[in-house]
Amino acid sequence: MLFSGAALAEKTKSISVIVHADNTTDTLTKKQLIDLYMGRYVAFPDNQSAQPVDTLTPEGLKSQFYKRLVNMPLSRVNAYWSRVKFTGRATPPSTQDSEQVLLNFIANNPNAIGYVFSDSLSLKDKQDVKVIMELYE
Amino acid sequence: MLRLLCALLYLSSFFGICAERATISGFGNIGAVHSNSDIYRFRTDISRENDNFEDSIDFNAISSLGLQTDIVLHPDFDFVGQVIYRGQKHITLDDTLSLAFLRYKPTPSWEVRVGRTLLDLYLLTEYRDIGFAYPWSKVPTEIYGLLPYRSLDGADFIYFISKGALDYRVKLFTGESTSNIALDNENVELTIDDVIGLSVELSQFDWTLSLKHTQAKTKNNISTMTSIIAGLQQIPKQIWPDKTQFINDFSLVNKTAYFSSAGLKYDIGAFTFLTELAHLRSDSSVVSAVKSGYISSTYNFDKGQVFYTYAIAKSKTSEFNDAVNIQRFLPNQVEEIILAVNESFRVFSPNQQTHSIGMRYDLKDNIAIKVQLDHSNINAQGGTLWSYQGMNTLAPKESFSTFFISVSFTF
Repeated sequence: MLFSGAALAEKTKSISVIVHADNTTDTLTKKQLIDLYMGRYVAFPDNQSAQPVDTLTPEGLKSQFYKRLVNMPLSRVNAYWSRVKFTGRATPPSTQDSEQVLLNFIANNPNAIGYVFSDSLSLKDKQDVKVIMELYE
Repeated sequence: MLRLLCALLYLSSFFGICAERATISGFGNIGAVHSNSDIYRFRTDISRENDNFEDSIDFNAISSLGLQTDIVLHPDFDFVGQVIYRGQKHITLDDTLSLAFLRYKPTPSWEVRVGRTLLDLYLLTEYRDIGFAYPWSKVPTEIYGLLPYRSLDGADFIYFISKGALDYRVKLFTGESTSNIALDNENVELTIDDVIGLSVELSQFDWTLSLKHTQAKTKNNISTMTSIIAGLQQIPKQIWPDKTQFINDFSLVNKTAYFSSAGLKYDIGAFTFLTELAHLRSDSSVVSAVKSGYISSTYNFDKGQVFYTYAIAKSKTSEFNDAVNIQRFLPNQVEEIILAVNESFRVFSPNQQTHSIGMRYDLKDNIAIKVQLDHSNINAQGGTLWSYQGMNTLAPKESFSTFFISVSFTF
Protein backbone atom coordinates (compact mmCIF):
# COMPACT_ATOMS: atom_id res chain seq x y z
CA MET A 1 0.00 0.00 0.00
CA LEU A 2 2.89 2.34 0.91
CA PHE A 3 4.60 1.45 -2.37
CA SER A 4 1.58 2.22 -4.48
CA GLY A 5 1.16 5.51 -2.59
CA ALA A 6 4.76 6.52 -3.35
CA ALA A 7 4.37 5.52 -6.99
CA LEU A 8 1.18 7.57 -7.25
CA ALA A 9 2.94 10.58 -5.71
CA GLU A 10 5.71 10.31 -8.34
CA LYS A 11 3.14 10.16 -11.09
CA THR A 12 1.46 13.37 -9.99
CA LYS A 13 4.60 15.42 -9.27
CA SER A 14 5.51 17.98 -11.86
CA ILE A 15 8.93 17.79 -13.52
CA SER A 16 10.99 20.94 -14.14
CA VAL A 17 13.25 21.17 -17.15
CA ILE A 18 16.26 23.26 -16.16
CA VAL A 19 19.23 25.00 -17.76
CA HIS A 20 22.09 27.16 -16.49
CA ALA A 21 20.90 30.51 -15.06
CA ASP A 22 22.81 32.42 -17.78
CA ASN A 23 21.38 30.38 -20.66
CA THR A 24 19.53 32.71 -23.02
CA THR A 25 16.74 30.18 -23.52
CA ASP A 26 13.67 31.11 -21.48
CA THR A 27 11.26 28.52 -22.80
CA LEU A 28 11.05 25.47 -25.07
CA THR A 29 8.23 23.87 -26.98
CA LYS A 30 7.59 20.18 -26.41
CA LYS A 31 8.85 19.45 -29.93
CA GLN A 32 12.12 21.26 -29.21
CA LEU A 33 12.54 19.27 -26.00
CA ILE A 34 11.86 16.01 -27.90
CA ASP A 35 14.45 17.00 -30.54
CA LEU A 36 16.98 17.71 -27.79
CA TYR A 37 16.44 14.56 -25.75
CA MET A 38 15.96 12.16 -28.65
CA GLY A 39 19.16 13.17 -30.47
CA ARG A 40 17.35 14.78 -33.41
CA TYR A 41 18.43 18.43 -33.14
CA VAL A 42 20.60 18.83 -30.07
CA ALA A 43 20.59 22.60 -29.80
CA PHE A 44 18.77 25.44 -28.08
CA PRO A 45 16.50 27.71 -30.14
CA ASP A 46 19.42 30.12 -30.68
CA ASN A 47 21.29 27.20 -32.38
CA GLN A 48 23.83 26.86 -29.55
CA SER A 49 24.76 23.20 -29.04
CA ALA A 50 23.10 21.62 -26.03
CA GLN A 51 24.22 18.90 -23.65
CA PRO A 52 21.17 16.96 -22.40
CA VAL A 53 21.56 15.06 -19.15
CA ASP A 54 19.56 12.24 -17.54
CA THR A 55 19.63 11.30 -13.86
CA LEU A 56 19.52 7.85 -12.26
CA THR A 57 17.79 8.86 -9.01
CA PRO A 58 15.28 9.37 -7.60
CA GLU A 59 13.76 6.19 -8.94
CA GLY A 60 10.93 6.86 -11.31
CA LEU A 61 12.05 10.34 -12.39
CA LYS A 62 13.62 9.23 -15.67
CA SER A 63 10.72 6.95 -16.62
CA GLN A 64 8.17 9.66 -15.77
CA PHE A 65 10.11 12.23 -17.78
CA TYR A 66 10.16 10.08 -20.95
CA LYS A 67 6.57 8.95 -20.44
CA ARG A 68 5.48 12.59 -20.39
CA LEU A 69 7.86 13.60 -23.19
CA VAL A 70 7.28 10.89 -25.81
CA ASN A 71 4.68 8.63 -24.18
CA MET A 72 7.00 5.63 -24.22
CA PRO A 73 8.27 3.28 -21.50
CA LEU A 74 12.05 3.29 -20.97
CA SER A 75 12.47 0.01 -22.86
CA ARG A 76 11.08 1.61 -26.04
CA VAL A 77 13.15 4.73 -25.46
CA ASN A 78 16.20 2.43 -25.23
CA ALA A 79 15.12 0.62 -28.41
CA TYR A 80 14.90 4.00 -30.13
CA TRP A 81 18.36 4.93 -28.87
CA SER A 82 19.84 1.61 -29.93
CA ARG A 83 19.02 2.44 -33.55
CA VAL A 84 20.29 6.00 -33.23
CA LYS A 85 23.41 5.30 -31.22
CA PHE A 86 24.60 2.04 -32.80
CA THR A 87 24.26 3.49 -36.29
CA GLY A 88 26.55 6.37 -35.31
CA ARG A 89 23.87 9.04 -35.72
CA ALA A 90 23.99 10.55 -32.24
CA THR A 91 24.88 9.76 -28.65
CA PRO A 92 22.27 9.58 -25.89
CA PRO A 93 22.15 12.06 -23.00
CA SER A 94 24.91 11.65 -20.42
CA THR A 95 23.82 10.43 -17.01
CA GLN A 96 24.33 11.90 -13.54
CA ASP A 97 23.88 9.86 -10.36
CA SER A 98 21.33 12.02 -8.56
CA GLU A 99 19.29 15.18 -8.77
CA GLN A 100 21.79 17.08 -6.61
CA VAL A 101 24.76 16.06 -8.79
CA LEU A 102 22.70 17.01 -11.83
CA LEU A 103 21.88 20.43 -10.37
CA ASN A 104 25.58 21.06 -9.66
CA PHE A 105 26.48 19.93 -13.17
CA ILE A 106 23.99 22.28 -14.79
CA ALA A 107 25.03 25.15 -12.52
CA ASN A 108 28.58 24.72 -13.90
CA ASN A 109 27.79 24.03 -17.59
CA PRO A 110 26.11 26.78 -19.61
CA ASN A 111 25.12 24.36 -22.40
CA ALA A 112 23.64 21.65 -20.18
CA ILE A 113 19.94 20.86 -19.87
CA GLY A 114 18.36 18.48 -17.37
CA TYR A 115 15.23 17.73 -15.40
CA VAL A 116 14.28 17.27 -11.75
CA PHE A 117 11.09 16.87 -9.76
CA SER A 118 9.90 20.45 -9.25
CA ASP A 119 9.66 20.05 -5.48
CA SER A 120 13.39 19.21 -5.33
CA LEU A 121 14.42 22.72 -6.32
CA SER A 122 15.53 24.81 -3.34
CA LEU A 123 15.70 28.60 -3.36
CA LYS A 124 19.48 28.35 -3.72
CA ASP A 125 19.13 26.01 -6.70
CA LYS A 126 16.86 28.53 -8.37
CA GLN A 127 19.68 31.09 -8.27
CA ASP A 128 22.01 28.77 -10.20
CA VAL A 129 19.60 27.18 -12.66
CA LYS A 130 16.59 28.34 -14.62
CA VAL A 131 13.32 26.46 -15.12
CA ILE A 132 12.35 26.71 -18.79
CA MET A 133 9.52 24.20 -18.91
CA GLU A 134 7.37 22.06 -16.66
CA LEU A 135 6.00 18.67 -17.55
CA TYR A 136 2.84 17.36 -15.95
CA GLU A 137 1.27 13.96 -16.11
CA MET B 1 40.99 1.85 -47.45
CA LEU B 2 41.75 -0.45 -44.54
CA ARG B 3 44.98 1.53 -44.01
CA LEU B 4 42.94 4.72 -43.72
CA LEU B 5 40.65 3.05 -41.22
CA CYS B 6 43.62 1.82 -39.19
CA ALA B 7 45.09 5.32 -39.30
CA LEU B 8 41.77 6.66 -37.97
CA LEU B 9 41.84 4.06 -35.21
CA TYR B 10 45.41 4.92 -34.22
CA LEU B 11 44.67 8.62 -34.42
CA SER B 12 41.67 8.16 -32.20
CA SER B 13 43.66 6.02 -29.75
CA PHE B 14 46.14 8.88 -29.53
CA PHE B 15 43.43 11.45 -29.03
CA GLY B 16 41.71 9.04 -26.68
CA ILE B 17 44.35 9.89 -24.10
CA CYS B 18 43.04 13.44 -24.00
CA ALA B 19 39.44 12.57 -24.86
CA GLU B 20 36.79 14.64 -23.15
CA ARG B 21 34.50 11.63 -22.83
CA ALA B 22 34.84 8.02 -23.87
CA THR B 23 32.18 5.35 -23.49
CA ILE B 24 31.94 1.68 -24.35
CA SER B 25 28.61 0.03 -25.01
CA GLY B 26 27.24 -2.88 -26.96
CA PHE B 27 24.34 -4.89 -28.24
CA GLY B 28 23.58 -8.50 -28.97
CA ASN B 29 21.10 -11.06 -30.08
CA ILE B 30 20.95 -14.72 -29.12
CA GLY B 31 18.49 -16.57 -31.25
CA ALA B 32 17.34 -19.87 -32.65
CA VAL B 33 15.60 -20.59 -35.95
CA HIS B 34 13.63 -23.67 -36.92
CA SER B 35 12.09 -24.24 -40.33
CA ASN B 36 9.93 -27.12 -41.50
CA SER B 37 11.35 -26.98 -45.02
CA ASP B 38 13.66 -29.83 -46.03
CA ILE B 39 14.88 -27.82 -49.00
CA TYR B 40 15.47 -24.23 -47.95
CA ARG B 41 17.47 -23.02 -44.95
CA PHE B 42 17.02 -19.56 -43.48
CA ARG B 43 19.67 -16.88 -43.83
CA THR B 44 19.33 -13.17 -43.08
CA ASP B 45 20.87 -12.16 -46.42
CA ILE B 46 22.86 -13.52 -49.33
CA SER B 47 26.20 -12.83 -47.63
CA ARG B 48 25.43 -15.56 -45.10
CA GLU B 49 26.15 -19.20 -45.58
CA ASN B 50 23.87 -21.72 -43.99
CA ASP B 51 25.13 -25.20 -44.72
CA ASN B 52 23.46 -26.50 -41.59
CA PHE B 53 21.21 -28.91 -43.49
CA GLU B 54 21.48 -31.65 -40.86
CA ASP B 55 20.30 -29.97 -37.66
CA SER B 56 16.77 -28.73 -37.51
CA ILE B 57 17.49 -25.87 -35.09
CA ASP B 58 19.94 -23.17 -36.14
CA PHE B 59 21.52 -21.11 -33.34
CA ASN B 60 23.78 -19.12 -35.66
CA ALA B 61 21.53 -17.44 -38.21
CA ILE B 62 20.21 -14.51 -36.14
CA SER B 63 22.78 -14.38 -33.32
CA SER B 64 25.19 -11.47 -33.12
CA LEU B 65 27.30 -9.42 -30.72
CA GLY B 66 28.49 -5.84 -31.19
CA LEU B 67 30.81 -3.57 -29.22
CA GLN B 68 31.02 0.17 -29.72
CA THR B 69 33.23 2.95 -28.45
CA ASP B 70 32.26 6.63 -28.64
CA ILE B 71 35.09 9.05 -28.01
CA VAL B 72 34.49 12.79 -27.80
CA LEU B 73 37.81 14.30 -28.85
CA HIS B 74 36.79 17.94 -28.94
CA PRO B 75 33.42 19.74 -28.85
CA ASP B 76 33.37 19.57 -32.68
CA PHE B 77 35.05 16.17 -33.23
CA ASP B 78 34.23 12.67 -32.14
CA PHE B 79 35.18 9.15 -33.12
CA VAL B 80 32.88 6.13 -33.25
CA GLY B 81 34.23 2.59 -33.62
CA GLN B 82 32.17 -0.59 -33.70
CA VAL B 83 32.93 -4.25 -34.23
CA ILE B 84 30.23 -6.82 -34.78
CA TYR B 85 30.30 -10.59 -34.90
CA ARG B 86 27.35 -12.04 -36.78
CA GLY B 87 28.67 -15.42 -37.78
CA GLN B 88 31.39 -14.33 -40.20
CA LYS B 89 33.62 -17.23 -41.19
CA HIS B 90 36.74 -15.07 -41.16
CA ILE B 91 37.20 -13.02 -38.03
CA THR B 92 39.47 -10.29 -39.36
CA LEU B 93 39.47 -6.58 -38.52
CA ASP B 94 38.08 -5.78 -41.97
CA ASP B 95 35.26 -8.33 -41.71
CA THR B 96 34.14 -7.37 -38.19
CA LEU B 97 34.69 -3.60 -38.22
CA SER B 98 31.33 -2.02 -38.99
CA LEU B 99 31.96 1.56 -37.87
CA ALA B 100 35.21 3.55 -37.67
CA PHE B 101 34.65 7.17 -38.50
CA LEU B 102 35.76 10.59 -37.42
CA ARG B 103 32.94 13.13 -37.26
CA TYR B 104 33.29 16.87 -37.58
CA LYS B 105 30.15 18.64 -36.37
CA PRO B 106 30.77 22.38 -36.16
CA THR B 107 27.09 23.26 -35.77
CA PRO B 108 24.01 21.26 -34.70
CA SER B 109 22.74 21.44 -38.30
CA TRP B 110 25.48 19.76 -40.28
CA GLU B 111 28.19 17.19 -39.95
CA VAL B 112 30.81 15.40 -42.02
CA ARG B 113 31.89 11.82 -41.30
CA VAL B 114 35.00 10.24 -42.80
CA GLY B 115 35.94 6.56 -42.50
CA ARG B 116 33.74 3.49 -42.29
CA THR B 117 30.04 4.20 -41.85
CA LEU B 118 26.95 2.03 -42.36
CA LEU B 119 25.65 1.86 -45.90
CA ASP B 120 22.35 3.74 -45.91
CA LEU B 121 20.60 2.01 -48.82
CA TYR B 122 17.09 1.47 -47.46
CA LEU B 123 15.09 2.55 -44.38
CA LEU B 124 16.38 -0.18 -42.02
CA THR B 125 19.76 -1.08 -43.56
CA GLU B 126 21.77 0.84 -40.99
CA TYR B 127 20.36 -1.03 -37.98
CA ARG B 128 19.27 -4.37 -39.38
CA ASP B 129 21.90 -6.18 -37.22
CA ILE B 130 20.75 -4.50 -33.99
CA GLY B 131 17.94 -6.74 -32.83
CA PHE B 132 16.98 -4.60 -29.83
CA ALA B 133 16.08 -1.74 -32.18
CA TYR B 134 12.98 -3.33 -33.74
CA PRO B 135 10.07 -5.55 -32.71
CA TRP B 136 10.67 -8.39 -35.20
CA SER B 137 13.17 -11.23 -34.85
CA LYS B 138 14.79 -10.02 -38.08
CA VAL B 139 14.12 -7.33 -40.66
CA PRO B 140 11.96 -8.38 -43.68
CA THR B 141 14.14 -10.69 -45.77
CA GLU B 142 12.30 -9.88 -48.99
CA ILE B 143 13.87 -6.40 -49.07
CA TYR B 144 17.02 -6.78 -47.00
CA GLY B 145 18.03 -10.33 -47.90
CA LEU B 146 19.37 -9.25 -51.29
CA LEU B 147 21.68 -6.62 -49.77
CA PRO B 148 24.94 -8.21 -48.64
CA TYR B 149 26.69 -4.88 -48.07
CA ARG B 150 26.89 -3.44 -44.56
CA SER B 151 29.53 -0.75 -44.41
CA LEU B 152 30.73 2.07 -46.62
CA ASP B 153 34.38 3.15 -46.69
CA GLY B 154 34.21 6.78 -47.64
CA ALA B 155 32.56 9.96 -46.42
CA ASP B 156 29.16 11.46 -45.91
CA PHE B 157 27.69 14.91 -45.40
CA ILE B 158 24.53 15.31 -43.33
CA TYR B 159 22.36 18.41 -43.09
CA PHE B 160 19.51 18.59 -40.58
CA ILE B 161 17.16 21.48 -40.16
CA SER B 162 14.06 21.91 -38.06
CA LYS B 163 11.47 24.29 -39.53
CA GLY B 164 8.24 24.76 -37.64
CA ALA B 165 6.71 21.39 -36.92
CA LEU B 166 8.81 19.53 -39.51
CA ASP B 167 12.36 18.22 -39.51
CA TYR B 168 14.37 17.74 -42.70
CA ARG B 169 17.45 15.53 -42.94
CA VAL B 170 19.52 15.26 -46.10
CA LYS B 171 22.48 12.94 -46.39
CA LEU B 172 24.93 12.59 -49.27
CA PHE B 173 27.44 9.77 -49.20
CA THR B 174 30.18 8.31 -51.33
CA GLY B 175 32.71 5.51 -51.07
CA GLU B 176 33.08 1.80 -51.70
CA SER B 177 31.98 -1.43 -50.09
CA THR B 178 32.93 -5.09 -50.27
CA SER B 179 30.94 -8.11 -49.22
CA ASN B 180 30.89 -11.84 -49.64
CA ILE B 181 28.10 -13.56 -51.49
CA ALA B 182 27.42 -17.10 -50.38
CA LEU B 183 26.59 -19.33 -53.34
CA ASP B 184 25.72 -23.01 -53.22
CA ASN B 185 29.29 -24.23 -53.40
CA GLU B 186 31.47 -21.20 -52.80
CA ASN B 187 31.76 -17.89 -51.05
CA VAL B 188 32.73 -15.10 -53.42
CA GLU B 189 33.67 -11.47 -52.91
CA LEU B 190 31.92 -8.65 -54.76
CA THR B 191 33.02 -5.02 -54.46
CA ILE B 192 30.98 -1.95 -55.33
CA ASP B 193 32.80 1.36 -55.78
CA ASP B 194 31.97 4.85 -57.03
CA VAL B 195 29.04 4.65 -54.61
CA ILE B 196 27.00 7.85 -54.65
CA GLY B 197 23.89 8.01 -52.52
CA LEU B 198 21.26 10.48 -51.41
CA SER B 199 18.91 10.04 -48.49
CA VAL B 200 16.14 12.52 -47.73
CA GLU B 201 14.00 12.24 -44.62
CA LEU B 202 11.05 14.39 -43.71
CA SER B 203 9.81 13.76 -40.19
CA GLN B 204 8.19 14.64 -36.96
CA PHE B 205 8.95 12.48 -33.94
CA ASP B 206 5.95 10.22 -34.58
CA TRP B 207 6.37 9.81 -38.34
CA THR B 208 9.16 9.63 -40.89
CA LEU B 209 8.98 9.70 -44.67
CA SER B 210 12.19 8.48 -46.22
CA LEU B 211 13.36 8.55 -49.85
CA LYS B 212 16.70 7.03 -50.79
CA HIS B 213 18.60 6.45 -54.00
CA THR B 214 22.08 5.03 -54.45
CA GLN B 215 24.14 4.18 -57.50
CA ALA B 216 27.29 2.09 -57.44
CA LYS B 217 29.54 0.29 -59.87
CA THR B 218 30.21 -3.40 -59.42
CA LYS B 219 33.98 -3.77 -59.65
CA ASN B 220 34.49 -7.43 -60.38
CA ASN B 221 32.77 -10.56 -61.60
CA ILE B 222 32.06 -13.25 -59.06
CA SER B 223 34.48 -16.11 -59.73
CA THR B 224 31.96 -18.48 -61.32
CA MET B 225 31.09 -15.77 -63.82
CA THR B 226 34.74 -15.38 -64.80
CA SER B 227 34.85 -19.07 -65.75
CA ILE B 228 31.53 -18.80 -67.58
CA ILE B 229 32.72 -15.78 -69.58
CA ALA B 230 35.93 -17.66 -70.45
CA GLY B 231 33.73 -20.52 -71.70
CA LEU B 232 31.46 -18.17 -73.66
CA GLN B 233 34.53 -16.69 -75.36
CA GLN B 234 35.31 -20.15 -76.74
CA ILE B 235 32.01 -20.47 -78.61
CA PRO B 236 32.69 -19.92 -82.32
CA LYS B 237 31.27 -16.69 -83.70
CA GLN B 238 29.77 -18.64 -86.61
CA ILE B 239 27.19 -20.28 -84.33
CA TRP B 240 26.67 -17.16 -82.17
CA PRO B 241 27.12 -13.81 -83.94
CA ASP B 242 25.81 -11.77 -80.95
CA LYS B 243 28.34 -13.23 -78.53
CA THR B 244 30.29 -10.02 -77.78
CA GLN B 245 27.17 -8.02 -76.94
CA PHE B 246 25.84 -10.80 -74.72
CA ILE B 247 29.11 -11.10 -72.79
CA ASN B 248 29.27 -7.36 -72.34
CA ASP B 249 25.71 -7.31 -70.91
CA PHE B 250 26.41 -10.38 -68.76
CA SER B 251 29.60 -9.12 -67.10
CA LEU B 252 29.37 -7.28 -63.76
CA VAL B 253 32.62 -5.38 -64.30
CA ASN B 254 32.07 -1.62 -64.22
CA LYS B 255 28.26 -2.00 -64.40
CA THR B 256 26.06 0.39 -62.48
CA ALA B 257 23.63 -0.94 -59.90
CA TYR B 258 20.70 1.23 -58.76
CA PHE B 259 19.08 0.98 -55.31
CA SER B 260 15.93 3.04 -54.66
CA SER B 261 13.46 3.00 -51.80
CA ALA B 262 10.55 4.92 -50.32
CA GLY B 263 9.57 4.24 -46.71
CA LEU B 264 7.03 5.54 -44.24
CA LYS B 265 6.90 4.99 -40.49
CA TYR B 266 3.88 6.28 -38.60
CA ASP B 267 3.01 6.09 -34.89
CA ILE B 268 -0.65 6.63 -34.16
CA GLY B 269 -1.92 5.95 -30.66
CA ALA B 270 -0.85 2.48 -29.61
CA PHE B 271 -0.08 1.44 -33.19
CA THR B 272 3.01 1.79 -35.35
CA PHE B 273 2.72 1.35 -39.13
CA LEU B 274 5.76 0.84 -41.27
CA THR B 275 5.91 0.32 -45.00
CA GLU B 276 8.63 0.41 -47.62
CA LEU B 277 8.93 -0.16 -51.35
CA ALA B 278 12.30 -0.86 -52.91
CA HIS B 279 13.61 -1.27 -56.43
CA LEU B 280 16.95 -2.79 -57.34
CA ARG B 281 18.32 -3.02 -60.86
CA SER B 282 21.62 -3.15 -62.66
CA ASP B 283 23.06 -2.57 -66.09
CA SER B 284 24.29 -6.18 -65.93
CA SER B 285 21.85 -8.87 -67.06
CA VAL B 286 22.98 -11.07 -64.14
CA VAL B 287 21.18 -8.87 -61.63
CA SER B 288 17.45 -9.06 -62.20
CA ALA B 289 15.28 -6.01 -61.66
CA VAL B 290 13.79 -6.71 -58.24
CA LYS B 291 10.71 -5.00 -56.84
CA SER B 292 10.14 -5.63 -53.17
CA GLY B 293 8.17 -4.24 -50.29
CA TYR B 294 6.60 -4.86 -46.94
CA ILE B 295 3.90 -3.50 -44.68
CA SER B 296 4.08 -3.97 -40.96
CA SER B 297 1.66 -3.02 -38.20
CA THR B 298 2.61 -3.16 -34.55
CA TYR B 299 0.43 -2.83 -31.48
CA ASN B 300 2.43 -1.34 -28.59
CA PHE B 301 1.51 -2.03 -25.00
CA ASP B 302 3.35 -1.25 -21.77
CA LYS B 303 6.07 -3.91 -21.85
CA GLY B 304 5.75 -5.26 -25.32
CA GLN B 305 4.65 -5.26 -28.92
CA VAL B 306 2.58 -7.56 -31.13
CA PHE B 307 3.06 -7.35 -34.88
CA TYR B 308 2.00 -8.59 -38.29
CA THR B 309 4.13 -8.14 -41.41
CA TYR B 310 3.58 -8.99 -45.06
CA ALA B 311 6.60 -8.86 -47.37
CA ILE B 312 7.03 -9.66 -51.04
CA ALA B 313 9.89 -9.77 -53.56
CA LYS B 314 9.32 -10.11 -57.30
CA SER B 315 11.86 -10.26 -60.09
CA LYS B 316 11.98 -11.09 -63.76
CA THR B 317 14.86 -13.37 -64.49
CA SER B 318 16.82 -13.10 -67.74
CA GLU B 319 16.89 -16.24 -69.88
CA PHE B 320 19.81 -17.19 -72.08
CA ASN B 321 17.55 -18.41 -74.86
CA ASP B 322 15.59 -15.15 -74.81
CA ALA B 323 18.71 -13.08 -74.93
CA VAL B 324 20.55 -14.50 -77.89
CA ASN B 325 19.86 -15.64 -81.36
CA ILE B 326 21.81 -18.84 -81.12
CA GLN B 327 21.62 -21.76 -83.50
CA ARG B 328 20.14 -25.08 -82.44
CA PHE B 329 21.90 -28.43 -82.12
CA LEU B 330 24.72 -27.11 -79.94
CA PRO B 331 27.75 -29.13 -78.87
CA ASN B 332 27.54 -30.53 -75.33
CA GLN B 333 30.12 -28.08 -73.94
CA VAL B 334 28.04 -25.14 -75.15
CA GLU B 335 24.90 -26.62 -73.57
CA GLU B 336 26.78 -26.77 -70.25
CA ILE B 337 27.79 -23.14 -70.53
CA ILE B 338 24.20 -22.13 -71.28
CA LEU B 339 23.13 -24.01 -68.16
CA ALA B 340 25.77 -22.16 -66.13
CA VAL B 341 24.63 -18.80 -67.52
CA ASN B 342 21.00 -19.53 -66.62
CA GLU B 343 22.19 -20.58 -63.17
CA SER B 344 23.95 -17.21 -62.77
CA PHE B 345 20.79 -15.37 -63.82
CA ARG B 346 19.11 -16.76 -60.70
CA VAL B 347 21.72 -15.69 -58.13
CA PHE B 348 20.07 -12.26 -57.70
CA SER B 349 16.51 -13.20 -58.60
CA PRO B 350 14.10 -13.75 -55.68
CA ASN B 351 10.39 -14.50 -56.07
CA GLN B 352 8.69 -15.06 -52.76
CA GLN B 353 6.33 -13.67 -50.15
CA THR B 354 6.05 -14.04 -46.40
CA HIS B 355 3.38 -13.44 -43.75
CA SER B 356 4.81 -12.93 -40.25
CA ILE B 357 3.22 -12.67 -36.81
CA GLY B 358 5.11 -12.27 -33.58
CA MET B 359 5.61 -10.63 -30.26
CA ARG B 360 8.30 -8.78 -28.37
CA TYR B 361 8.26 -8.58 -24.58
CA ASP B 362 10.68 -6.34 -22.68
CA LEU B 363 11.97 -8.31 -19.70
CA LYS B 364 13.99 -5.28 -18.59
CA ASP B 365 14.60 -1.82 -20.01
CA ASN B 366 17.50 -3.26 -22.01
CA ILE B 367 16.52 -6.92 -22.52
CA ALA B 368 13.73 -8.17 -24.78
CA ILE B 369 12.52 -11.64 -25.72
CA LYS B 370 11.01 -12.05 -29.18
CA VAL B 371 9.13 -14.80 -30.97
CA GLN B 372 8.07 -14.78 -34.61
CA LEU B 373 6.36 -17.20 -36.96
CA ASP B 374 6.82 -16.75 -40.70
CA HIS B 375 4.92 -18.50 -43.45
CA SER B 376 6.79 -18.19 -46.75
CA ASN B 377 5.76 -19.08 -50.29
CA ILE B 378 8.73 -19.52 -52.60
CA ASN B 379 8.19 -19.66 -56.35
CA ALA B 380 10.08 -22.23 -58.42
CA GLN B 381 13.61 -20.92 -59.02
CA GLY B 382 12.83 -17.96 -56.74
CA GLY B 383 14.48 -19.04 -53.50
CA THR B 384 17.78 -17.21 -53.85
CA LEU B 385 17.36 -15.50 -50.49
CA TRP B 386 17.58 -18.90 -48.80
CA SER B 387 20.39 -21.40 -48.58
CA TYR B 388 19.66 -24.15 -51.04
CA GLN B 389 21.75 -27.17 -51.93
CA GLY B 390 21.53 -27.73 -55.63
CA MET B 391 21.07 -25.83 -58.85
CA ASN B 392 18.98 -22.65 -58.71
CA THR B 393 17.45 -23.56 -62.06
CA LEU B 394 16.00 -26.70 -60.46
CA ALA B 395 14.93 -25.12 -57.15
CA PRO B 396 11.31 -26.10 -56.53
CA LYS B 397 8.28 -24.17 -55.41
CA GLU B 398 7.78 -24.52 -51.65
CA SER B 399 5.52 -23.28 -48.87
CA PHE B 400 6.73 -23.64 -45.31
CA SER B 401 6.93 -22.06 -41.87
CA THR B 402 9.91 -20.73 -39.97
CA PHE B 403 9.94 -20.09 -36.23
CA PHE B 404 12.29 -17.61 -34.56
CA ILE B 405 12.97 -17.08 -30.88
CA SER B 406 15.56 -14.64 -29.63
CA VAL B 407 16.75 -12.52 -26.75
CA SER B 408 17.99 -9.06 -27.72
CA PHE B 409 19.91 -6.82 -25.36
CA THR B 410 22.01 -3.69 -25.06
CA PHE B 411 24.61 -2.78 -22.45
